[in-house]
Amino acid sequence: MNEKKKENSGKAESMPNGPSDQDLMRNVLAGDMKAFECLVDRYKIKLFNLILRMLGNREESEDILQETFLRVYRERESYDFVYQFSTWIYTIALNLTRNELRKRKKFSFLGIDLFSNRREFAVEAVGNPNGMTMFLEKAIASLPEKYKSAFLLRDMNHRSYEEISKSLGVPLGTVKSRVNRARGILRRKLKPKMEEYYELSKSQAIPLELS
Amino acid sequence: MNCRKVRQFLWNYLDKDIEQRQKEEIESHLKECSKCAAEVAELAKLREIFHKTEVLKPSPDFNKKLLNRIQTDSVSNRVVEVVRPKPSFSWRWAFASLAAGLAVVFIALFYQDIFYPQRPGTTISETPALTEVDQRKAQEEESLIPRGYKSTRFVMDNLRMGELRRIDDFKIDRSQMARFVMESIPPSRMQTRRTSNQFVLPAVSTRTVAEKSSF
Repeated sequence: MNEKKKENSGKAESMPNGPSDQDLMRNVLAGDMKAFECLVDRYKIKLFNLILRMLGNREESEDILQETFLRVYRERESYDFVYQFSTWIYTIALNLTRNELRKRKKFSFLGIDLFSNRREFAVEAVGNPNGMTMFLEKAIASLPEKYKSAFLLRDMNHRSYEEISKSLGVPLGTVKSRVNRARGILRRKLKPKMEEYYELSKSQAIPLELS
Repeated sequence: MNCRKVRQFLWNYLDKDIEQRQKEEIESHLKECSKCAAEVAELAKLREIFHKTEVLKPSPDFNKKLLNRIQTDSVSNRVVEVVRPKPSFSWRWAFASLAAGLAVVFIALFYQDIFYPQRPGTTISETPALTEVDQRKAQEEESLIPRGYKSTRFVMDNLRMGELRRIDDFKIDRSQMARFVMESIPPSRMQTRRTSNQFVLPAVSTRTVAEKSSF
């Protein structure tokens, strides 16, 4: 798992070396499909993980992901280069996701949740059913929507608070408090599991380095 | 800085989302306070776990599908918005029409009670039900009535049972009928019984009525 993370963060670091998102976007505007595909590759995994955890269903998430890129392409001319590209694409993805959730809410009539069977999501793909990862996934899935989105953007996608605030259209202070609220809830939920985890890792020194 | 204040900012401290001066204050506090230091260690650990969420990937042919869609999208001019088909079945409408249907059925069933609450048939139905003895008496009285006559009790019963049509056949106004019944009783035969502080309608001698009424 650590390797995977490194691989992922390695990808993130390699980004500044290549052309910036905005450069790619300029190429897209000039009609370069390769540049567009490059953008897709840069964002699809991050966005997919975000949408998947919000919706909890693989196929729907992929639909929304496709819709997001489709919108990006269709609205390419309305992109304002003053803003970061990532903020823009996150905003689109989040709006589409929230629309989808709202649609679901409409259908859950008289407390009947028609989608509950579809919600057990990625957990099954994550492997070890008793592991910490699974436990964490379940805890995240149980968060209220607004805390979940803020938390995921911050701690999974590593966006800055400013960017989250812009993407969600919520004041900066609110974003911070939502993220911390979500962390507090998760901490309480993970507490029993944490103790186990501690026991296992007590032999190793607790790393206090801040990434 | 005291512990409470420090703990407020621990997440911000870990996020490095904090001013330099505050950061130094917190760090100096952490050196002195082992409890807060333990707290920081736990939060850091937690953060590490948060960062370990599994990275899942969209299906391998995602790019291909997307590019295909974009191509077809640009071919069938870009004005077309992707409109998802509206669901033809909606719970809200189903519920509303069900309620409307029930209302119609309800009104149909209780049409008379709702629109003609003062129908005499309903008021007369308050007369007490006949006991067995009364019934026998009624039969006896009936046998005494000559052919072609009807006893008051018969009329009253029919009124009470709601068999109004039969009375309608005689084209008699029901209130008139009641008055006729009352008037036909000679005062000497009127007996008022007092039961539990309630005056009950006088028992009507059927024969008197029967003699007079000819239907």
